[in-house]
Order: sequence, then structure tokens, then C-alpha cells
Amino acid sequence: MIGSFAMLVVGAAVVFLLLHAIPGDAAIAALGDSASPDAIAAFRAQHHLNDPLAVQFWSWAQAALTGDLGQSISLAGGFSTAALIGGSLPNTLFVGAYALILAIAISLAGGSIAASRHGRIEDVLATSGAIVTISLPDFWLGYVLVLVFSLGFGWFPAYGFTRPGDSLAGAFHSGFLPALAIAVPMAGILSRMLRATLLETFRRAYVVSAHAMGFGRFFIFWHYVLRNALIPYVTAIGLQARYLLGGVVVIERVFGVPGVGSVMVDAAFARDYGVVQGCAVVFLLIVIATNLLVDTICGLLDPRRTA
Amino acid sequence: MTPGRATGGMWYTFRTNRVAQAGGTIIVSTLMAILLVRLLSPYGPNEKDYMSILHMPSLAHPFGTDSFGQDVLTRVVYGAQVSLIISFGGLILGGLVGSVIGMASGFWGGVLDAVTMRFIDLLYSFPTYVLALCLMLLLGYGSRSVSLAIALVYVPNFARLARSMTAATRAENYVTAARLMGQSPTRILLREILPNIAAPLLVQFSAGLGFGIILEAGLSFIGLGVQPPTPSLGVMMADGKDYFQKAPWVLTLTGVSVAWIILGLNLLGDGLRDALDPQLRRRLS
Amino acid sequence: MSNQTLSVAGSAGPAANVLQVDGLDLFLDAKGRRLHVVRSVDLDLRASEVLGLIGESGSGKTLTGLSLLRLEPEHAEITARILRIDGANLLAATRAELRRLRGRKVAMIFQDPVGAFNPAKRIGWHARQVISLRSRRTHGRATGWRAAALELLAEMDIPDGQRVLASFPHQLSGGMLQRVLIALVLAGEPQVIIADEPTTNLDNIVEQQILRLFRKMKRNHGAAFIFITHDMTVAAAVSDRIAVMYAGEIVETGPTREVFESPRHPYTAGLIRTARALQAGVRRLPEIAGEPPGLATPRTGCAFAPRCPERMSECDMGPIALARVGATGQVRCLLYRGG
Repeated sequence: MIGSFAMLVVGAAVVFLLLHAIPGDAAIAALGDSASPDAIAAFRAQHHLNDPLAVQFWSWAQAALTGDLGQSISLAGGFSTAALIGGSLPNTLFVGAYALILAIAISLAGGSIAASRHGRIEDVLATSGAIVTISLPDFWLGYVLVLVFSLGFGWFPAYGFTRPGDSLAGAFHSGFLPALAIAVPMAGILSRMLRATLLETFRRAYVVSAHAMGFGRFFIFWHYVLRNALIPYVTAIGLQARYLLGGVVVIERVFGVPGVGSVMVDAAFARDYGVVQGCAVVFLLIVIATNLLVDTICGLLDPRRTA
Repeated sequence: MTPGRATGGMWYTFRTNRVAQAGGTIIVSTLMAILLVRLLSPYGPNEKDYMSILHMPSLAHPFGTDSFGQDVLTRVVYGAQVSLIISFGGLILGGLVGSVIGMASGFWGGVLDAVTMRFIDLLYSFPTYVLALCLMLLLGYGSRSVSLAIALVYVPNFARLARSMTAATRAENYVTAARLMGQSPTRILLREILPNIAAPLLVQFSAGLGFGIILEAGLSFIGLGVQPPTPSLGVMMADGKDYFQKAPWVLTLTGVSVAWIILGLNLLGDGLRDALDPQLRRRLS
Repeated sequence: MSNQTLSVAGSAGPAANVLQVDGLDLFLDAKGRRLHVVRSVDLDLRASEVLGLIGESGSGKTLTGLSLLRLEPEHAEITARILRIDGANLLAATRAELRRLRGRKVAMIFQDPVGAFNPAKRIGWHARQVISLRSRRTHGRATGWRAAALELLAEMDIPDGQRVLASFPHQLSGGMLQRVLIALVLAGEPQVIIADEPTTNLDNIVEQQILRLFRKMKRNHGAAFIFITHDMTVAAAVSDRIAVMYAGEIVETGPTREVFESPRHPYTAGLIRTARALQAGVRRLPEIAGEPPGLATPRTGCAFAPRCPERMSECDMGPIALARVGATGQVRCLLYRGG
């Protein structure tokens, strides 16, 4: 736990340093090239841009701990960064979790079928399918899905996202295609990994022993094979977190989901470094939290640890 | 157990492994297309023909034309070259830096290892596009920055892999023998350890090359990567998305091309990994 | 090429035999080659009888044992004239029928007890599954398993059954796990138990405990055993009859006492010589020179001939059939032909 917190702090510091090393004056970026020197000076004073970097970071961190991530410099009306990110975070989390669940469902089914029907047609199809899906760029897949299911069949909206706060059903409906676009390549990776683990588990002595005791094949698959393949599988999911959230950033743009990724990209275009930094730290937080969750689950699953 | 035999065995298995061959064929044909496009294609990559805007795929234009009347297929081949170079450059850099860090960490262990790996873990904990985006802001847009962003994203992958493999190989007898004989660490790393960990690193390289292309495409797609008029695959897809409803083939076919190239890279990586497996098992037994 | 199919158990008819194996062959497909690993094995077993199947590693004894439950590996092929457990034809059985037979009519005790349990589940879970399975088969519903489990554990001289039931496999010692495994096997009340080197991985004290348990099982439960081992002394301690395997073939069978006091086959004689020397604490053990033939080498004549002190030129000529010796014994050796 402490390690994770330390990582978060160091990560925030690194992002901070990186962004402040950017050439170009934030004040000029915000006020425009023709701003008067007085205005620039006032801006800099107001935002403490003249203080030493360490002091700037410290005051940022202090404020961050209380939930104040500073003001967005660029947006009119001066939205607070925290509010900006906070408002968009649920959408990102929703789509991310949705994608994860879809990926798990697809890969569990695909990997299990491929492993149980090892060498047969189902296995060949599943394995080929997996390697093809891994090769697809997720944002491109998003467009293809829109082409087929939105413009083609008209089942799902092509663009836009209903916030879960407004309508949960609407969120599930409008979020399906974006989540699927992220989920499919990830499912490919996970199902290959699961298949390999399952095949290896099939050969274990306790599987032969279970057969000798007269247990049924599905029973053995569920309790002996799948159960013991879960830990490597869950660990693999944890390792995919950075790719999952990476995909979320781009997919949000493709489908117009107003999530943290969208905010971050907009801020990047506007040179609003404070917001970019805030978003980066929030993403880091999500990944760290996911890793903690994965570790906890693995701990619960592993009999050696619960003992 | 001589070092370097791992790579030798890899060549042999490549010759017999069908998956690797399939991948290799795709890649080689892509490279051929890239090299010969100037001869094979009647069009230039930026040759605009306002009489043939947004034409559907036909014999004259197998991939159709875009909003400037440019032949999509030709642009795809040129774009593939750009994207491949960017990804390759990034992977080489990231691979070298990451491998060096990982090998040092795995070889010497101790505090250096612990601290370094923490930083590597931190780097790995950033979502890919977030990391890339921050770097693009820092360095400005353009091909070179995208390459560096890809490098940064892949440093932790190589570092972790190199570290665990180095730590495992370090315990082997021939390494201990070399150390007892007084060989300098650099020499040991280069002569004893590196040849034996090269193969998995190569597999990682092949897979990373594919994702590097996706990263470049994604960044250029949202406008934060390669800038037009340079025809990278991502730029072309960004272009294609603007008139997606009217002329979906530009984006779709470009994406298919991207997927095709990455499929080749993945198959190659898979084949290499299969070639690796029996040797790995033999070495670890 | 045919063997005189004499029932090892004597002249009693098939009805008295709980296990009938006639002409069992097992072929392994490895790297494009077909290896003849088990060659025309005959085994018969009566209720409450213990057969010690002796052989060194590679003799095919484990695969023979697995075949009796149709648990042969994926790339193996089994053929036999007869393969029956309590009348049920194992060769013709469907997957569902085999599943019903396993654990109930025929059960297996494995060499590595740790590998026999699901590492993710507690012992109590295992016990419950096995006992419920039996209950469902006999009574049609699952009855109170915990009491039955504790009773079985107590019978196996396992103290503190509650704690054991609550433990995970990795928390118990090898000896303890073996006893638990035996208890679970007994829960199914099988008619034939195949024990594959059950004491090999255990130290001597524990080994003696387990052997005591086996004798108890034989007395109280009337199960028939095949006790597979490479250790002659262990086999002698529990078996009524002995069958010796070499290079995939049965080379000698007979009542334990007879085989030990007057071994017929030169291989058996060599094994017993070594075992006696080991027991007597002799420093330099008498060896049988040479190695068993590889599985892939083609064979004419006796497989043991290259190492046999009694070798004759005729030994290499052709396959040698089993010959009757004594009242109920058999031996595959030209020294005893026409017996």
C-alpha cells in the first residue's frame, strides 16, 4: 500500500516536472501573443509561476490532497480542474469497466472453448480469431463497428454518450460500441493467455486424479482446471491495464464520450498544462488502484496466502 | 551449453515453423511493396486529381481515392513506410535503453535493482496514450516526437523482460565460471548473457513494432502525432474519418492495411516464440 | 505369439474374478513413432486379493495401472482381448459409463499424494465431493458427509480429523496426504484399488504405517488390490501374489512365498538377490548387468536375454510364451518350457 502511494506521489512529481519543463510560457499561451507585459506579469504572479519549481509542486500537492487541482487556465469561466476531471471521471470509469467486463466475458468463453477443444476446428477458429483481433487498431475497429451496427443496422448510436448519471440504460446502450471496440483486441490477448494456461493445467496430476475419482468433465474443468488457471489470468488482466486505459483515451475521441481522456486531449491542444497534469495523475491513480485490486483478488484466490 | 546457440536454433525453427513463415511472408511482401512503389504505382503520394474525388475502389484505384483525388493505395504504401520507420526507430531506442537498464538491474541486483524497478513500474503504470501525449506536449508534434513517445512507452516492457531473464541467466554455471575467471561485468553481459536473452527480447520487439504502429496511428489520428502532409497511416485514417459516412472505404481500407501489417508482425513474433519454447524449456530444466 | 491364458488366481471361473485382463497392449504415439509399451499383459484378481506388480521404472507398470481405469494418456492406444472390472467391459464403455465406474468399482492411489488434490480447495471439499458422489450413486441423494468423512479419517489413524478437513493440501505432510487419499478412495467403496507406488515418496516410518493401513483395508473392506512398486520387500509385505514386469511384459507370476523363496525367471532371481542383500546390509549390492531395452528398439526373442546369466542361443529366436510352473505360477522363460 505504501509502495503504491509513494509511486503515486513520485508519478505526480515526474509529470509535474515534465510539463513545467515545456518551453513556452503558460501565461502567453493563455493570454495570447499580444498580451501586454503587465498582464503577463500579473498572470504569472497570480498563478505563482515565478516560484521555484519545488515550491510550486509542494503547493500543488497540498492543494491536490484536499481535492483542489487548480484552475483550468484555458477554459472560459475558469472551471476548476478538479471539477472538470471529476465531472468526466465517471464516464471514463464506466466505459473502462464496461470494456473490461466485455473483454473478460469474451476471453473466458473463447479461451475455455479453445482449450477444451484443443486441436479441433473450434480451437483453430478461436486462436486465429484471437491473433487477428490483436492486430486491429481499436479506434479503427470503433469506426467499423459504427459502420456495421450504427449506420448499417441502426442498433446503436454512432456518436455521443449518455451519462450513467442521467440514464443507466442509456449509458449501457450508447456505451456498447465504444466498450466493444476497446474490449475486442484485449479479449484476443487474454483468451490466448487463458488458453495456454488451461492447456498447461490440463496436464497436471490433480486433473488425472480427479478423473480417477469419477468426477464429471465439466465439474473437473470448472473446479480443477479453470479455478487453478484464474490467478495467472487475473494477473494478466492487471498487466493489460495500461493498454485498456490507453485505448479509452482514443475511443473517447472517436465516440465523443466526455471522459477524462477527452478532457486531456482538449487541454493538450489548448496548451492547458495544469489540466493535462491533473488528468495524467488521475489516470495514474486509476492504474495503481487497478493493480491493487488485482493483487487483492489474487491474494484471495491463492490458498497459500489465505492460510 | 554454448551461448549463441539459442539464436542459431531460432533460424532453423524459422525455416520450418509455418506461423513464422506466414508472418515473414507478409512482412517481406510489405517491404517489397514499400521499396518498389515508385516503380509499381502510376500515382505519386501527393498527386491530386480533382476530377476523381472520393471515388469508390475500382481497377484504376484499387483502394479508391480520397478527398483530394489522391490514390489511396499508393498513399497507404507510402504511409506504411513512414509508420514503420517511426515505430521501428522508437522500438530500437526503447528496446536498447530498456534492455540496458534491465540487464544492469538484473545483473547487479541490490538497491540499484529495487529503485530502478520501482521507476520502471511507475512508467509502466501510465496508460500508453497518456505517456505519449505528455511527451508530445513536451517535445512538440511530428514524426520524431512520436518515435520518442513510442520508445518511452516500451522502455518498461524491455526493462522488465531483460531484468528477469538476466537475473535467471546470471545463476547459470557458465556465468559463474566467467565471473570466477575474472571477466569484467561488461564483457560477461555482452558475451555470456546477451546472446541467451536475445531471443525473447526479439519476440518482444516484433510484437512491440505492431503496437508502435497502432500508437503512431492513434496519436496522428487525434491530431497529436505526425502532422499532415506527411502521409503516415494515422494521418490517412484521420483524414478518412472526416468523410467516413460518405466514403467509408478510405478509413476502412487503410485500417485493414494497418491490421494486415500488424498481423504479419504478430505472426512473426508468435513463430519466434514457438521456436523459443523448447529451447527455453531445455535451458531451464 | 499367443499366451496360454491361465487365470493367475487359479482355476476358478471368470465369475469369481473381480478384475480380468487378457492380452492388454498399450501403444504410445511419440514423435511419429509407435512405441509398444505394454505387451500382452494378463492379470486376474479375486476379491480381497492383493497382487504385487513389480517392475523397475520404464517397465510399463504405471501405464498398465492407468489402463485399468482407462486413464491412459491422450496419445496412447489400448487394445485387449478382455478388460473387465466386475464384469463391466472397459473397452466398450462410453465416457459416461467409465465415469460411473471410476471411484466406485475401481479407484487409484497415486504415487505423489500432493498431486492428487486440488490445490485450491480444502480437504473437506474433496471429502464432501467424493462422499456425495457415492451417496448419490447408492442412495440417490447426498447425506451427511462430515460424519462419514471423520469416521474414515479416524479409521486411517488420522488424529484431529476436523483440522485436517479444514486444511488445504499444501498445509499437510506427504504421509498425511497419502492417508487422506486412501481414506477418500475407500469412501467410494471400490472393488478394485490400484495403488501406484503409494509409499515410494514417503520415509520408512510412514511407509510402515501405510502398509499397516493396506493390510487393515484388505481385512475390513474386502477390496482387491494391485500394488504397483519397484520395491520387492514392500511388495512382499502386502501381497498375496506377485507379478513381475520387465520391458512391458509379465515375466513371472506366482504366490508371494513361492516367488520369493524359489524365483524362476532369472530377472526375478536377480531382483530378489539384490533385495536380500539390501536387507542384510551388505555393502556391495549384487547387480544385474546392463540396462533394460529402450522402448523403440525392435525386439526378437526374450527382452532380458542380453543381461541373462542363463542365456541360450534359442532365447533370441522368437517370442516366448508364458509357461505354467508349480500350482498357480507362470513364467516366461525357455528354461521352464514344457512345464
